[in-house]
Amino acid sequence: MERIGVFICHCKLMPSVDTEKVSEAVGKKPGVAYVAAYEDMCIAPGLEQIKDAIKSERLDGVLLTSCSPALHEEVFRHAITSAGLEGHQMAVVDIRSQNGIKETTQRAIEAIESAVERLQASLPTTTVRIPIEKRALVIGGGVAGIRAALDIADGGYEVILVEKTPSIGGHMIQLSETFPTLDCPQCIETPWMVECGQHPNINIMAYSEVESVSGEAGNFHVTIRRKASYVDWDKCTGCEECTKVCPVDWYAPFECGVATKTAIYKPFPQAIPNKAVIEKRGIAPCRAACPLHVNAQGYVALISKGRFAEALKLVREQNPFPGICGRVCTHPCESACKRGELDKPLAIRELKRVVADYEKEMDFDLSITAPEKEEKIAIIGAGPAGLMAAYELRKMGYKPTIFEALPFAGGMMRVGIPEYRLPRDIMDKEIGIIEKMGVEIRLNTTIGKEITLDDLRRDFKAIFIAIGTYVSAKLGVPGEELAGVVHGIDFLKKVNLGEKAKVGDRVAIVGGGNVAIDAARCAYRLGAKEVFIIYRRSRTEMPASPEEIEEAEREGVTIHYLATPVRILSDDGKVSGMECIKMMLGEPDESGRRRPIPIEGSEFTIDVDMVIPAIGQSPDLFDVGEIKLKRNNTFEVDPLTLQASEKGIFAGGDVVTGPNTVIDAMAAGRKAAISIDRYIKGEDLTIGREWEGSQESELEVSLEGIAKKDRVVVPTLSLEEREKNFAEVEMCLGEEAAVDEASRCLSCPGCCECLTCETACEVKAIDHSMVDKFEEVDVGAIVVATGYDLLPKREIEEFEQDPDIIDGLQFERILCPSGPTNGVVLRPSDSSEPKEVVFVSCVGSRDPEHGLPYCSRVCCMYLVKMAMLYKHAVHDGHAYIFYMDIRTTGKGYEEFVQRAVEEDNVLYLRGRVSKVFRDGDKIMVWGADTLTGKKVEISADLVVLATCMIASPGAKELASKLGIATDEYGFMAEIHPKLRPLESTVPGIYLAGTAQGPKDIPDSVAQASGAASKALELFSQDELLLERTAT
Amino acid sequence: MNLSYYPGCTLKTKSKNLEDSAIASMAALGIDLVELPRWNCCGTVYSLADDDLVHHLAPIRNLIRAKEEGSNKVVTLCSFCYNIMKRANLLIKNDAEKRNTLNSFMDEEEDYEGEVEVVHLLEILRDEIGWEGIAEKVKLPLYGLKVAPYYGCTLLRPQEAAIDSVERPTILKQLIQATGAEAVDFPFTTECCGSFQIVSNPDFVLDRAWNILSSALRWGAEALVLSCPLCDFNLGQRQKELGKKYREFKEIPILYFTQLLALSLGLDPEVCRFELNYVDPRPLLESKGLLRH
Repeated sequence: MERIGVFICHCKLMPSVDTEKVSEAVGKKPGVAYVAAYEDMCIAPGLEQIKDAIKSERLDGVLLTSCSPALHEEVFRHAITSAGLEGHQMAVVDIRSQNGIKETTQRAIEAIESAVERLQASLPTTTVRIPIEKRALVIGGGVAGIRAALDIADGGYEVILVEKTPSIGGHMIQLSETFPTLDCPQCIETPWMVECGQHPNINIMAYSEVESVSGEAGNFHVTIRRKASYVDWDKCTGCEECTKVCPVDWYAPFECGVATKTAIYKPFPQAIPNKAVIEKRGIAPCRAACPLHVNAQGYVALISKGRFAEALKLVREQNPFPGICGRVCTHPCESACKRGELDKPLAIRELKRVVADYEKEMDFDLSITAPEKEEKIAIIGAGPAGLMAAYELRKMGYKPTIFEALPFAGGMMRVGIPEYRLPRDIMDKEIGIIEKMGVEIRLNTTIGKEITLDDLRRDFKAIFIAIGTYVSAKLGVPGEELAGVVHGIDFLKKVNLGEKAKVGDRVAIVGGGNVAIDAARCAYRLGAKEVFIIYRRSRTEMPASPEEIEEAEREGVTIHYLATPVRILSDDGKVSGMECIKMMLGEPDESGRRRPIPIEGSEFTIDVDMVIPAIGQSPDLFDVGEIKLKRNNTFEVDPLTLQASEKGIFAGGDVVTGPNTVIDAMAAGRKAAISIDRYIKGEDLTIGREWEGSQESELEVSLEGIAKKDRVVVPTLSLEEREKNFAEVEMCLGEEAAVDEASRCLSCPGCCECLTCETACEVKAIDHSMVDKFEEVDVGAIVVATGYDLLPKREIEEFEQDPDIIDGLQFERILCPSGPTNGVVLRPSDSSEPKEVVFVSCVGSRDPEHGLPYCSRVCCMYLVKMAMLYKHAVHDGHAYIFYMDIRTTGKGYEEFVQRAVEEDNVLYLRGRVSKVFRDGDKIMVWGADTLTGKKVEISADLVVLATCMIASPGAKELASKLGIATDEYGFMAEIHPKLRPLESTVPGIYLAGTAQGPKDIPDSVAQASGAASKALELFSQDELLLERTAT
Repeated sequence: MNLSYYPGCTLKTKSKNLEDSAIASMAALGIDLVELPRWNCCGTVYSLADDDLVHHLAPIRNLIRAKEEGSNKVVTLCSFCYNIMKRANLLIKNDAEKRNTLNSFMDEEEDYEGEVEVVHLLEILRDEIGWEGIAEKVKLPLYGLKVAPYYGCTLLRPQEAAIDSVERPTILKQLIQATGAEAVDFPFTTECCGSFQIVSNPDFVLDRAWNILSSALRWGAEALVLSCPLCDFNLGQRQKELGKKYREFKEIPILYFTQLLALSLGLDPEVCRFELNYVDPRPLLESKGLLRH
């Protein structure tokens, strides 16, 4: 460009720039043919002057120096193009925004000079015409999204309305009554919702989320994830027969934690779409932790509804021995139970025992549906591992043979576990099913004696060795050979197999595992006057079940921790005492437990006449030839498949792991059965086996707001009733107690997959195998109406976490006439009617130090509305509102507040609240009344916190996908807060409602129509004209 | 490892039990508390008056003593000493003008710019040794003992001096749990004991003590654990009077957190100097089998 005209605009807002100096300097720049300084160039006369100058001076370039281009560039461009120049022949440089700079004139000159060079380098542009996809996407089905969708649809264009919850309606549909009209929001919003559902132009995609977005205004390409609802909505009629049979109670977000819903549910009666959805977030921790993956969550849920027979059936799908495991299992499910993080885990094992005992006649379908197979399989050992392997193999159609050395089946369950823990009739009834199914058990058959391993290798296709560990470890101290020393397993065998077992008067058991405890409690029953347990570490390290240790102590067993025997003393060939030494705990050893170190000189003697060492066991192994063993005679196997070092031979249970539990042995039995089946078929043993055995679930569960409740106490025989007999000590829970305990379950993943809904659905709409699907759409405009959330109460630590300290949405559900309490005001902890209710304003809002600095805008109004509704419901109740200001900016708002004060006697206290905590039955509120200058302490029944309105969860991620900006608080950012509040930072994407910032319903609805009009404005054009650089 | 240690006046007189149990338990954990030479009274309370610079001289001189020893950290036990020294240190670091004035005034001393960090012993336990590190050294786990943590004010307020969350602190609870005892949460754990009102308005302090202790008792505590000699005095020494005024009041032993620690580390109970506690904790400890003979 040879003839650039520089127009220096100055107005009152630019006093410090010396326009004469600037004109002079700039005029000297090569390429500048004309310089003029005018005041207020942006208004009509000024623009005319520019146009005249272009013509008269034959300018081929125009540089405006003024304020920011964002303000007037469009205006200037119009002017110069109407004077015959093209868009690229103009530039604007900002010389006004020089805050804080001292040399403004010099800076202006430098800015203008470089702008001239920039202008000279600019390239011509062309106009590109882009067709507009006249379809809109509205993200968010709350009142703003619904209004925007209806306006655009009524304007004649297609709308896709995406909503992430199962129904449209948003937060408004959860409210009780809306201020200031006290309209019922269900009544005023549902007509719009129905209209949306029936509108020919609106396609509602509920239970869906935007997955990805590309493109630009007029042509966005959007991928939408249709989440798996596990219900086929084409078939579902919304009849809710399924919800009647679902046993699960879970804290559905719609009820905000004040009530539960079933896992298959319709969010509320007027839901649109009016379809059921299954909430299923993963696998329950208890079910995952169980080595057999018994559906613990499922059977607990069924028990909570009194459906014991169904519960038992569900257990038996994975575990054929519920009566046994319900008594002796070490319950890894309970250790994984999330409730344990709140108070105590569910008594899952007890509940299994209840349903096992509840059954009068065994109703267990033992028929074999698989085709019968020829191959013969040998199982050595009729303990839990061998019996389970036999059960699983028989179900697959094989006919395994079990070889058992003892005269009875049962293994350690019969030999080790005493009758007061596991009655023999229960055990016999359950393990008896194995033979009933057609498995041969050859008793009194020892490998190496009646039959050899080579015989088995010859006659059987595969062998599973599960012989357990029956050899007691030795103490290795002098005196161990004396007659009064009987090792743990040998002692228990005598007792449990009905042989004569004598005990001394004063019996010492050495060891800390279950065998030691079992021996101690047997000794007590056999008449020992004093029973001691000597254990070399402290109680925390004791491997025995904590319940067993407690019962032993109750039965009078004295436990000496941190001690170990040094020698056994004798008198006349009989045991007369035991010398022990005290220990202290040092650094951890290979097992991870702290190494006990003897304390020199701390020897002490106890008077005993019998010693039972129970410090470990190893297998009583026959000759295995070359098969690899570990140092303590246990088998070395592939942990994934249980394959031993010789092909076709498998080993599992205690004979591999050392002394372990019934449930782990049973899991090994199942694993061996799967391996043997694959081995026989010639299939790969290793594929797809990661899920076998105990797993950890990744599920996260919120414990917020859930009231603590004591775990059920299992009734036991009194000490008198236990003396000198082996009657079962733990009694079965009564039905009511069982239902009560089962109701403590948190239903961590939601659905438990008990599949009762599938059976109940008459149109067969339920499909538990559904997966998320994806749909692609092309749209021209997007309206973001994703709504809000409330700041979690736990963020403001002055307020204790308690079920009776609730937030606005929770109280709305309680007040709502169609809510969980039908509008009766009951407080969450004990469902009593609160007489003193305190409302606290500004919780987390207007709080730069701990929370968010902005005002949440609607709380003053909804608190007073709630106080009024509360007073209408509870006439003799008292409502107190602690406030800093009362913000009543809308139409009818101020009058509403006055009505509350004058007619409903709502008491306002001007001051903040410093602390809220529970004291017994009451919630203490400590606040101040600045108008009297006094501290105020209120003993309330219920406290409602007006927590700050924040952006909806997932808003930031969505904004990132859309490419739009969020503000510093996570709300969607508007491109100009005063003049363009409905436009995001990306053209074609508009904002409406609380997604853009806190506001009430009238404003949300107004914004929705505004955003809709922006979309309609876009659609009113046929093409988008865009300037692109000509190449 | 050595740490510079500032005892403060009370620990050498009324609260010898806090000092002795601290030194012994830290030695068992491998840390030698080396007393600062020539230390003076900390000044007790941080002056809030904007121009009361003379009052700040006392704590700052102690920090200079630490600097002279070549230490970059000084550890305190008394909550009051901690509070004033921490805040005086922050003043020196953040206010250049006052720093200059103070250093010029103390012309006989080295210039001090905030080179030494002020920490409370609980912070050392949490951050340098760690709760697991402590649990590993525990020889006598205090099973069955229900202890309520009590923070008082000066460990947690103002926020810039706080050693933990102001509203929901857990540092004492974690220490209690590391020793094997059971921590009992109660609502008055961070409520002021009445502080120096004991001098001018003792009835007020009696009421505060009643609120705090009766709450702890209601929530099942058998003992209280704290860090401040003044709180110890207000809550401990007035218990007989509380028993006279309120029938339902039960005496509850109050221990310093270092006494609890020393006991759990298996040290001889003699180092805890229980005879100096206002309410003798030994009967309670004996009944739980926690006093080794």
